[in-house]
Amino acid sequence: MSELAIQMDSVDKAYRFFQLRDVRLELEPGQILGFVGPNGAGKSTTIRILMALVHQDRGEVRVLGHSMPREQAIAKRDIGYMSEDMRLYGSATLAWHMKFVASLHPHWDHDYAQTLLRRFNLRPEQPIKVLSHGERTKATLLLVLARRPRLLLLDEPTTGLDPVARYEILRELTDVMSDDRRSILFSSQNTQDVEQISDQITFLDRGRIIESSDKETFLERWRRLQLDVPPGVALPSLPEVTEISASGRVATATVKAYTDEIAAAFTSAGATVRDVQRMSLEEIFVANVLLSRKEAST
Amino acid sequence: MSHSVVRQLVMKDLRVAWPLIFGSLVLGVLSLVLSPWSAIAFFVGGSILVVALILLNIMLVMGNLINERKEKIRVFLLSMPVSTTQYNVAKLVSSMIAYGVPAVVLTLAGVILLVATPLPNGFIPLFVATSVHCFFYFCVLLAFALVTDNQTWITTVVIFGNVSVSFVIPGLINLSSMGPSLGTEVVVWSPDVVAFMGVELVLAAAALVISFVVNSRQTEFV
Repeated sequence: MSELAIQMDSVDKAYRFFQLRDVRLELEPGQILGFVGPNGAGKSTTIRILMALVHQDRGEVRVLGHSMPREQAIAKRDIGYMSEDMRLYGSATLAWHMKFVASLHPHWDHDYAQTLLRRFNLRPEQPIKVLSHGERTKATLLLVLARRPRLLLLDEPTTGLDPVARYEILRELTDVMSDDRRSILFSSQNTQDVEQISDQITFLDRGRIIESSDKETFLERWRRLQLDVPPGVALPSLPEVTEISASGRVATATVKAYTDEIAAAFTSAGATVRDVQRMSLEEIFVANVLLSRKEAST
Repeated sequence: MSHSVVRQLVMKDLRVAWPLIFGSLVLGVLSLVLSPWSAIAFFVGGSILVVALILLNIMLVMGNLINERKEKIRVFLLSMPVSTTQYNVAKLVSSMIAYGVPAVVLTLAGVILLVATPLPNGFIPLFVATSVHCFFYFCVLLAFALVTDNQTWITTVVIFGNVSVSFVIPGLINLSSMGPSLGTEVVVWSPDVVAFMGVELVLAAAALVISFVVNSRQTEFV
């Protein structure tokens, strides 16, 4: 069995007003894990723990086989980390940064860096402070990718970017994955981005992982059923149904693990199933978060 | 610990701080050039030299540590194959070089100037002790900056540091073992002055050691 890119076991981190609880996470080599959660869910804290920028209170963290934070310097040789709030030296040029990063990374790929300069339309002689937000993000991504890392940890890298810059960055990340030894953990609030590039998806809310699965399973399992419910018909209470909203005769049931038996159960109760719709990742995410919060409050 | 990584980080810090180091050297040399012209020029030159060292101290620590943390550049640096200990060691070494080299050069140049010109050699102990005090102030500010970017703490240290210079120089001048020899050609390294410098150097070293102990217990580097 090959070594996991990421392994987090029973990880806790407590702050005064926020707690990350019992985080268990695994990422296989060659996989892209989309990390989705609302603001303050704990996505950044989790990624920072993986980078040893924040030390966990409890639990074991291994990145590329190295125990974190103890072996952080060795592990980070093969990690490319980028976060939305990371900044470069404003008065220094991109070329200066490239030279500096190359001096610390023996695997720095000069040719690939030149290719990325062309693809991202960046000029190395430009000081960072004159770059737009999109250009700065691309410059940072260049500095990360040209290290040829085995693991990419990307904390909301597409936040605040225009659609073109977002497309360019996602395309580059997809290209990176043509090497099947590489792994990516990609956090975002934008479920479209996550749906576009991820194999695995993990939902996080209020410091807890609420669900984790491969993308196809998520999309396959969740369904929304449009029902016609005649007066006097009571819909059955099924454990797979997370929510039912009704307006007159029309009801909508959200189902977390759809099978034909569920439609049959509604039909036998006297309702008519008008439509069975697939849900988008965003809809699944919202339904998952609401379900998790409902369960937590009962 | 990889010395090569620390060396690269130190080199990077020195490249970033180079304009500041150069500027303080220029200001310091100008103050020394001004000093021999007259008694007033001597005191003005001496004051400018102290100001140059204090400015270098504050701007260096602010730029090299505080702003780097506040502007999240440290996050970029810690994304490299660098441990937090290596980062802190590099910060200590680069700050020491960036402050120490101009301070030592200007102090030596000042001593040579006092010896080589008609200016009274009796000022040498006062000059060196003032330079040691500026170094002590730098070490204390550096120690605080290594462990916190809390503006209140940093501002308090800066205020106390700046005010302390105004007390230390008159205090040294008024020492019975130093005052009488100031205007003469006799260099008197009195026990008071030597003890003052020794205590300040020990306290400076203690402040830095404490900052490393505190740092080793930190769990947040964002």
